[in-house]
Amino acid sequence: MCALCGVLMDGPHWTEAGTDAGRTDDAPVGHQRQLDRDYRISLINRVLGHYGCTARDFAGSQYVVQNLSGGASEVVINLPQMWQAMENITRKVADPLDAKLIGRLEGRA
Amino acid sequence: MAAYSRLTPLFIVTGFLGSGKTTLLNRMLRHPSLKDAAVLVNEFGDVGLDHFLVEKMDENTVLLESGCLCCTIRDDLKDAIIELNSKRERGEVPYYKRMIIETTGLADPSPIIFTLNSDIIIKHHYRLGSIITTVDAVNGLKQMKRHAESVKQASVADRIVISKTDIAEKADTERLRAKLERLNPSAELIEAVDGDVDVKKLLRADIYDARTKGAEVRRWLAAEEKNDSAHHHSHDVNRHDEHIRTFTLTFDDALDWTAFGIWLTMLLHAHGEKVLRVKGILNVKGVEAPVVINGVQHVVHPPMHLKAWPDDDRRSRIVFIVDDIEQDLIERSLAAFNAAAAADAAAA
Repeated sequence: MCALCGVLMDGPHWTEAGTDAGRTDDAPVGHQRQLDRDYRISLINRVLGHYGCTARDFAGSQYVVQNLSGGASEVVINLPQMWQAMENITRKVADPLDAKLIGRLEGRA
Repeated sequence: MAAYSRLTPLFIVTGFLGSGKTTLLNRMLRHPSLKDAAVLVNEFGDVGLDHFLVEKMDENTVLLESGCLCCTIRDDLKDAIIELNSKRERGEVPYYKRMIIETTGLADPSPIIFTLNSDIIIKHHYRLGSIITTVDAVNGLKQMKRHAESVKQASVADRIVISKTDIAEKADTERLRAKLERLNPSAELIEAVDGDVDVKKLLRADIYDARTKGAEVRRWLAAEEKNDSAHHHSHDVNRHDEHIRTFTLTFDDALDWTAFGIWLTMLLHAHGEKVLRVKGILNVKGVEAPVVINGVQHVVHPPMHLKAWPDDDRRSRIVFIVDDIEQDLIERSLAAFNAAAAADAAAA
């Protein structure tokens, strides 16, 4: 648990824990970890932009998801929570099979 | 936390009512190599019939209080595992090296897997070994036609034990085998009379065992290749009931791990109930070793490296077993997420 904000930590989510659970030292640390987070957030924002919201880093361990006006926000600790927060805030369904989202990502690519 | 492969493996024995779970468990527990196994059995209703049928019920066995493991008593399952773990640590029970959970015949195994993966204490001491599903050669086909649970149990399995082959018509057994091979091609099919199986095959080789994971992945890929070519040649559009589809996506270029994680978590958020199984081997940008992924519905097990590629093919190959989701849509979606990441990298 974070002594400051009381958030119960449960170890890194698989998306942030490296690609080899067979090793205890595979998860990125230090500067590399922050670079990975920044990169993750930039990609997430490509997706969240489709729904009219954004994500930003909070204290290097959590994410703040908010709508574009900043009037609604939620703090989450991993990607599964992020999709739920996005839906809570925008009342839209987070679906990677949504043809419009796919088209948007293909267009950017 | 210890490396994932060093955690205590936890095996799930599931299967429809009367398909021979308890018989299989009884035979397994008589095997000398399983004397170090703790067993959690399920009581269905007030009688606890399964409890009395399982012969090896020593202090390592915890009888769960409620009737169904799958939904309403997940806390009981969690508590039972944690209590047994505490006893092991205190030396109050013999030090078991593996745990076996027997589900009810009507259980959907995925909430059980979710429970195992969501509790912080369990996650730090245990890992999923294999999901073993029993299917009755006499009634299996009918059960899969009528009961969604039966289809799901077979779909998520790593090993399928076909029981009662001694009393089934040979043609029925063959039809069942063909059905199971189409439904879940990468599951190993093992025929057993009275639960008489090779225990090592069932419990000693799994995807997270450092000694066996390479062979296990090779088996997955060979099974999928066989299934894909059979499918392409036969053009059998009614492969898996009417809704269950099994297919393999192949990507020539290395995948962006971050984009893959964003995509898969979003897919499982939206469609986790319909993604019965996703597993495969990935060529990840910047990672030399092949990365194994393994998920059951909403749960994704920690990814793991193989020491070497199983063959000359360096493409990412991902097997999906889904309920009514189009292959093309999944393929296009993952490709779009990956391409967006590649575009970002090119622009940087």
